[in-house]
Amino acid sequence: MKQDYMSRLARTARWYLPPAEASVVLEDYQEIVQGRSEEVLRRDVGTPKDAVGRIVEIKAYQRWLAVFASLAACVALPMVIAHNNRYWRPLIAPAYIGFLCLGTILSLWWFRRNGRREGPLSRGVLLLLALILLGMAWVWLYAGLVLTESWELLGIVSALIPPQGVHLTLTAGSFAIGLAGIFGLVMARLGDRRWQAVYVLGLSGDLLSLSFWLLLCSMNMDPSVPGWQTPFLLQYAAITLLGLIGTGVSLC
Amino acid sequence: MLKKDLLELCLLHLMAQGDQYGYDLLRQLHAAFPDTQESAIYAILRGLCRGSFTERCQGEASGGPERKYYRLTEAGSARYGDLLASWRGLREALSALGIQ
Repeated sequence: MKQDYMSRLARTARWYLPPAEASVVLEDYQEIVQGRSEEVLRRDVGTPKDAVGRIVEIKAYQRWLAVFASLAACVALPMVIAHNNRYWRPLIAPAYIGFLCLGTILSLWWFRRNGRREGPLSRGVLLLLALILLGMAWVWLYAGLVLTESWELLGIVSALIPPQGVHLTLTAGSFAIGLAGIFGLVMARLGDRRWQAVYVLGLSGDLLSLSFWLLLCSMNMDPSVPGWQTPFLLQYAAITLLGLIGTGVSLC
Repeated sequence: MLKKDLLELCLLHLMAQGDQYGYDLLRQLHAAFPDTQESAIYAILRGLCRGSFTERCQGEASGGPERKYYRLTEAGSARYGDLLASWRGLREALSALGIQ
């Protein structure tokens, strides 16, 4: 019971308070909580949310909320844009690169200043990174077939996975990868800042899937024009490369 | 003078007697003000620390985990003097009205 109270208090404190303040508060509460039942704690101390709510610095918390909302928007807005602009718009590609740069730089800057590194890297980080990389590899494989005009191979793939299946995989995949990214963001706040690597790679994977999905929706390709693939290839390569670099830096 | 100021005065008064462990401070004040939750008292203690009226120091380890204690700073002593003066003024004003 005591552990439950303490772990709930730790989660609440780490979400609402800056890391240094949260560490001090949790150290003090270790002593306060020791040897008391949950019932007594609720009566004498209050719920974990009450306890943290009384010490939260509103401005510092609002700053964190603003950063969190901006980072989450970098994941969510591209989805909204993609679903409202199914046909090629010249501004979408630079906007996507902009979201990636903003999300990566802001998260790196914030967590370097306000995050903390805790012990060895969590297995959860490695697992989620591997899953996101797998998703990105699948997008690259399918995009590679389209961009290299491997129509015969595409025909085989289409026989195995119908076009609706590809669309569904790309949209559901980008949503799942984006969700993993947001989860990484929350975990980076609650514990080890290196969880932000999941956010950065998730953002990159989300944008890669959406970019390719937009190409499939718009069918804005003309195989009779030599080099039609170059802008798409450059866009996908930039998103992937920036994502991988950001992930590497986040893990350091 | 609000109840928060009274609790602050009590905390500063206890620390003026010597360095105190956070938990001991909370226990003493909770015993004196049972209707006030310890987390509310702790919030005032943290507020004093953030305002540099107190500082948190490492305690000596005696076998168990190291405990942290709270110590009054110079600014804290001045704040204690101010609050004490306010309290005395309030008490005199109440006495003048016949409230004992």
